[in-house]
Amino acid sequence: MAAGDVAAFTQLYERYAQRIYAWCVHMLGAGRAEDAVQEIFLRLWQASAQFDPARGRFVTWFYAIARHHLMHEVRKAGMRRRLEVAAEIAEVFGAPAADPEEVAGVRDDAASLARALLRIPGEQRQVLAMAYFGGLSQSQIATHLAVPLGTVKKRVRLGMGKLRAALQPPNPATGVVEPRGTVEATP
Amino acid sequence: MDHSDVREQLEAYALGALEPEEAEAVRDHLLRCPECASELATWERVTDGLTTALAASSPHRIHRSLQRRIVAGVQARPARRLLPRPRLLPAVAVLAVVLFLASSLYALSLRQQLAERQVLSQQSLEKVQTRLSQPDQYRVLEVLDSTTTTRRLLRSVDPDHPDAYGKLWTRGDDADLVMMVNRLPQPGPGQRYVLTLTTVDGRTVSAGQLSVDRDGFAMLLFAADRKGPTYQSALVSLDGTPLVQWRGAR
Repeated sequence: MAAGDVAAFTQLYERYAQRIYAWCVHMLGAGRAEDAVQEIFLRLWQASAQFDPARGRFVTWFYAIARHHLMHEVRKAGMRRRLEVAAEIAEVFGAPAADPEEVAGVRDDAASLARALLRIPGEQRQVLAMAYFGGLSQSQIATHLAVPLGTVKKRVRLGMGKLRAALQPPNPATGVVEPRGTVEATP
Repeated sequence: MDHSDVREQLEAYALGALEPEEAEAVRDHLLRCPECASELATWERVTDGLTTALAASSPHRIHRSLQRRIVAGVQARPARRLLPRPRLLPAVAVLAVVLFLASSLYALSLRQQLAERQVLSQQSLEKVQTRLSQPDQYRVLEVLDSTTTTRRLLRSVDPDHPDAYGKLWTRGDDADLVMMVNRLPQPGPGQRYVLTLTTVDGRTVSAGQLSVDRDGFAMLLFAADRKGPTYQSALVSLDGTPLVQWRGAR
């Protein structure tokens, strides 16, 4: 696509558009989601020559573009809206409206991650959503939740560890994936 | 920040949850530590997966028609290419390249502006066609296309909706007035947007209600009692709460 190949762009669109759209709807609302999807894919098209496979995966690079745009937009709406976005997304992860197994085009690791998000404690889901989708730092999260910074860091570490374990292939000897984190004893 | 400190921060770094100075220290370390860079890539698989998992858990599905619009949009805009560094070229050649690029970028910018205007005009026209009868469409186009038309921009006065805006068209040789608003929030049950105009002689005129669609777009064609432009301010409000406003010089 770096060479301006519209066919390659179309393939990327077909692969990522649904994910970007869902992200945009939850961040900005249905009324602004389509414009945001268009803006993000236009940015991808215009920045495609800057992608360097030696520096990381395409999806990570592309999602960074998308997240930058969405954070810019949602920050304009203020902190209250960012907290609402994070809370709504944490709720979606905690009670998915769609069965990940049945959504067309969703890969196994996405379904595994969706299931892992459903299983982790609500307070871990909450801090992950506040950080990644609300754009809050750990200190800001601690302030808003009125808990010590160390508690937030612990929830981040445990939550991320469990999600990472969900993406790892099962142990060939036991057929079981062992999570790195342990269950948090105190909030 | 040493290696083990950074190692403990990588999850939060991948999430974007570090303070700016902490993130800067991690970035510095990553440049010289392949081990941490590799570890970060693993955490980034998790954060990338959050977006994919959201799509998997969400009920919202994209409309197929959006693909046509987006692909058409990129076809109108050439992808940017990385340019060779002119470090080794003679100064004159560098200057020539710079001038060429500047003129090319200017031409590209003009093309993009034109393409954007065409897309916006097309979208507005489609909405005009679906909302108004043919005689009213004709009246709207008469106001928008006249060489005597004056356009006013109504800016958001609502900090919760800073991207809401409106445009007001009047023409000096006609009494018709066209108002379009966009990105307004959805009104609650029973709530109505209204356009209020203040004439240059201080009269307040209620120009009617605006029914917004799902994009927050609405349009109003108003037959004033005199030829315009004769207004000093325009205000769109929702049950008395101002949303977008234009005020002329007093």
